[in-house]
Amino acid sequence: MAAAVKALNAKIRSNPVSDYLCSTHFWGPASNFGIPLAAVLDTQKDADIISGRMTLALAGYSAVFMRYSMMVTPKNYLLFGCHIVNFSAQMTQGYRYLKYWNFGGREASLEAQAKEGLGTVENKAKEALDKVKEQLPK
Amino acid sequence: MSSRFGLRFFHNARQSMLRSQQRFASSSPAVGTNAVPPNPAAGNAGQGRVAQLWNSPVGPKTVHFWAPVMKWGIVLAGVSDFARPAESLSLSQNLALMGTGLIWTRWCFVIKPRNIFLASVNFLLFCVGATQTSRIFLYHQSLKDSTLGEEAKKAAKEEGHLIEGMVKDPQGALKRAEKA
Repeated sequence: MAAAVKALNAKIRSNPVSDYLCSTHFWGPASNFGIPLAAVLDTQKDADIISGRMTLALAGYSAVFMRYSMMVTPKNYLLFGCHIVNFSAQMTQGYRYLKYWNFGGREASLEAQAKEGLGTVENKAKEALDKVKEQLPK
Repeated sequence: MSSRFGLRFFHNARQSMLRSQQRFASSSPAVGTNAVPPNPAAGNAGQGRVAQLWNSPVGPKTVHFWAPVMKWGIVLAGVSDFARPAESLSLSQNLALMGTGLIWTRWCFVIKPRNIFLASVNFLLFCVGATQTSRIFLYHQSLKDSTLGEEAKKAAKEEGHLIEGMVKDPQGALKRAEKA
């Protein structure tokens, strides 16, 4: 068993591509991509699930890690790219958060919801009326 | 354990600074009376140590210090979010934080040199993400009175649909982002 593992490891380390893909230099930054992906998915949802503090913390974290990735040895360009993407995503969410809470976005969305609710009520009333009309003897 | 690691690190940095200063002093004897002794200022050992820490290659003047500090900021922001109601939490973000915390905790033990300090940050990040995720799932479960497995499947399906929609219609996705 141990010999098989050793043989497999030797095979992995001999090829530079597979050596990189099976190293922490790849998987650390790769796992970090979950954060910007989550932010991008969240742009499609309501703005009231955005946490302002978390967005600010993540933006600052990505800004610092963009520099950190270039200051470690060896330089980690994948980490750098991941944090550029994350910084932009968090800025987008930050914009949506500010628009929602500080610049009238919440009022606009509540208004839209109210109008939608009103429209639904009207539709249901019309349907009910039609049903009653059908039931009436001709 | 983490503080011992940190102290050892700073101790090594201080040693190397002292050695380099001594080397500089000895190689230029013409400097004479103005040669700076290794421990400057009032001869107070505490003050000297503070100056050494301040000037350390992983000290507050470098990004190697502030990078883990920013990661602690995320943990603190997550902890402050415990006060927010479960219905206004983002499932995908907390899942992502949980996953990245878990993976980075493991890798901090595997890399050389082992960074227990960074591992502790990431472990706490995992705990925060896991707490928030379970809060969201329990909330949805209580609403619909279904099981955890069903809720997980439904959430995965919803996120999948979102991704599909964004890929097929990026313009619509942009509009939806601007509206909300």
